[in-house]
Amino acid sequence: MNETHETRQPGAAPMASPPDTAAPGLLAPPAPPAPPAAPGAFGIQLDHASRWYGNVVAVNDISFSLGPGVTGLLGPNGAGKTTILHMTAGLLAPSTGRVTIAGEIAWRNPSIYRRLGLVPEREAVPGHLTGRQYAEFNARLHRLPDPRAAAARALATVDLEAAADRTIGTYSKGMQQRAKIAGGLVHDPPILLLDEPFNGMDPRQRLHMIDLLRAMASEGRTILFSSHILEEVERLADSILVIYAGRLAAWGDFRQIRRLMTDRPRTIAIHSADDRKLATVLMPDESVAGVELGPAGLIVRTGDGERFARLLPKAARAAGVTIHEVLPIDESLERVFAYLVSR
Amino acid sequence: MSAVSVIWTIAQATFRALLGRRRTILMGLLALVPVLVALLSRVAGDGVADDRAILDLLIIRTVLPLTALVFGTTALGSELDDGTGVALLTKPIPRWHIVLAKIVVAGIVTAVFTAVSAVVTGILLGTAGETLVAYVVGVIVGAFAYATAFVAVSVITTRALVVGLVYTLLWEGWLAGILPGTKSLSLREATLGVIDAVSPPAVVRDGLDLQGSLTLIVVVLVAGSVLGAMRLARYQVKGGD
Amino acid sequence: MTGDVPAGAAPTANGGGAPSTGSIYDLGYRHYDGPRLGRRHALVALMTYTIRTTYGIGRGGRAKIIPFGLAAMGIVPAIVAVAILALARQAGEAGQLLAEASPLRYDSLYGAIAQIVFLFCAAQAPELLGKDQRYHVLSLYFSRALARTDYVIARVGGFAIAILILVLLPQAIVFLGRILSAPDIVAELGDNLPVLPAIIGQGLLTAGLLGAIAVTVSAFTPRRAYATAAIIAVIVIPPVIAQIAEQVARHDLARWTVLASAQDVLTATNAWLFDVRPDSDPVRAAALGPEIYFATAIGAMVVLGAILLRRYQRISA
Repeated sequence: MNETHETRQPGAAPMASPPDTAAPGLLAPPAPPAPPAAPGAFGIQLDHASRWYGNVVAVNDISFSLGPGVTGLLGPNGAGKTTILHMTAGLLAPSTGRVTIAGEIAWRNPSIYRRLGLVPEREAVPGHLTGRQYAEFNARLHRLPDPRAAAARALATVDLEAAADRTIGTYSKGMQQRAKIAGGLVHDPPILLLDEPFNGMDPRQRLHMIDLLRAMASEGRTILFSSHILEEVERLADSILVIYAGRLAAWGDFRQIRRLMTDRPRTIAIHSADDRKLATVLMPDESVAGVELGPAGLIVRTGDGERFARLLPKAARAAGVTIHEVLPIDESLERVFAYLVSR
Repeated sequence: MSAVSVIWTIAQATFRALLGRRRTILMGLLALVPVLVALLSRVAGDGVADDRAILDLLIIRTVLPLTALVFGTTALGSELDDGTGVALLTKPIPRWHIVLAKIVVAGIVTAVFTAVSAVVTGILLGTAGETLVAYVVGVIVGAFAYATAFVAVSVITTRALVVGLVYTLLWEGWLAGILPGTKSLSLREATLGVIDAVSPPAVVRDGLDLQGSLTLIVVVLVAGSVLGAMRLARYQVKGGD
Repeated sequence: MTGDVPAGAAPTANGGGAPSTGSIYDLGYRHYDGPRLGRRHALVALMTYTIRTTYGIGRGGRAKIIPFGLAAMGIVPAIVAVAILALARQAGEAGQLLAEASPLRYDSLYGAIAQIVFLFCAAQAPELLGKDQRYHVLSLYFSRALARTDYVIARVGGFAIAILILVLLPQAIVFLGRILSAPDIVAELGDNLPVLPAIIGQGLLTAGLLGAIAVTVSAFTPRRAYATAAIIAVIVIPPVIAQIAEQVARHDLARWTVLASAQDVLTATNAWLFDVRPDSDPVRAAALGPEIYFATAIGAMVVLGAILLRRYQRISA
């Protein structure tokens, strides 16, 4: 499985800018890997961390380091996402390896919580407290000098000021989630961990949450959230960590990952002036696995995207066919994930 | 924010959590049992009652340990079991703050329920004032000792209630009958020892003297708190995917 | 989920390749049309499962600690009794006296391990019923051949059998110990056989009554801690009240408080079955005839059973 290890770019800080949606990468070579940065410069760093329970390995030799921006931890249930988040939050000790937050070991180190906030999945918020009381409770436990102001700030960030003085028991599910996040934010942590934050939210609440997290990330925070729903991760994360059966299957911008998996067969739709002629020119090349002529255009299945990328313009020019449009039609996260998981 | 205010914040939250409606009612019913029995003996009895024996049997041997058991194991244990303990653990506060707050609250609540029950029962039975004071002192001391022990156990295992019951029924009850030596390690005997020291009974009991009682209680208070705090520092959350 | 694009499908801009007509793929799911074992088998299966769960069998080490630990503690008095007996027999004349004076005989064995049985009930009954309620698994049970009444019968029956094992094992050890350590095995067997009905009878009563109490209490709350505490309260507090009532109240009605205490009722039946003096003051003082105790025990089991059945008829699944 050495190939997947190469797709991880140790030390590369994920980009905070929104990912590009066009597909120029098809025709351009993939970006060279960034030079590794100094350790400890990042918020979260896992260094060959593993965790097992008796015979069951929940997390298997995972290494990554994260800096500012939003990273999505993607994987099916049981893959080890919550275990990784718990280890990152210092609530679980790794069986081997190291987990560090801003250079300090996370385990048995309550002082990391000054810089780290956790929004767990399971924890229920106490229904008899008001949103404000809950935020202030958390603020006091953080030993903040002005708990009330901190709580008010946190409530404003999650947009719960209007309902802050009602008991949490009267909140909708989305509001309860926001109350939990307010609780995790009172101390203004540069690092925020969220375990399945979109669970049980309706689409409107989800959009609101995505905006919120993006805004926080743009302030320079390191945000790591877990999800098993691909659309959420696709929309929110700058980079993803794909976990499957305890192993890290991939890490980085998912389109980059996609492009690095050059051996994955890809499907490309081409619209041109003369599809038939183009098809006959492309077919003999060994990079082309299959060609289909349909009413809407030409579909090419290729096993070697890079080679095909170089081939297409030459072939088109040689045949004198004008290309109107080239579209990769299976570059969604879903396909990427399905492929990674089936390896 | 000082340590005291952090402990106080946790304590406030714990009071609220422990004294939920159902639990308060049930523990109140338990505390009411000796009162009802005393009432019964007043109304239906011939008035000659060994009040100390009744107080021992009902308060010290039944209400006190059972109340301490319920409050002690749920003060911290219920939060650790259902995952809400994470809210406390992910804060930059030393673990012993948390444990101390829980012990203090569990102790106070247990002491209040049991002492009130003892006082009302004693009055109904016509107990002498200083005997009653002795029982209240014993109950308070015993409540904190039991609470400390049970809070510490609740950090170590999720089945703290059963462990506590095994201790109360088997160690303090069964074994103490068979192997008298275990009395020196029994909180029940220590509580009775304190009571006897404050208000000596007519017939001297075959149990712990004041020195032995206080030693055991202090050891339990200190060792329990320290052990609980140390284990909480090493506590790892369970479950998840 | 192979991601293959079927031939002839029109490509769309966002990469869909689904066929325009729906189809269901044969994944090899097998339909079963053969004979099914039916209701009784389901009941027996659940009962067996209940017994195994009570002892933590098939569940990993931790689940076994409490039930096996308690069972082991229950066996200890029996082993001690057998040891004393064996040594006494070897010691001859003086030993005879010791054997007779041994505090651990068939009739006293129940009293010796009573606390252990209570703990077992309080600790394990909530395990059986709590999780089914908490995780809403009941709908899965009731959508099978199992009727709601079957569920109750299987749970209570299984738990009672588990307690029966707990209670009869020490008796069996004493029984075998006596026989095997006797100089004349056949004679000893003959001496001990008449006691068997009493042993089994008391075992059944204990298992039935305590099992019914424990399971009924557990059926009303999904929270394990509440159920455990409630079971202990129901078993441990009434005898205390009975004891005090006996000492304190001269009113005739006080005698009847003894019947509210499962412990004392079982002590009374134990005493009658083995023809010895009852081990409990309130029972002695109450001086009620044996039929009353048996009637109470059986009546209580019936009433608790009815409560349980009603609970599970009405519980939402």
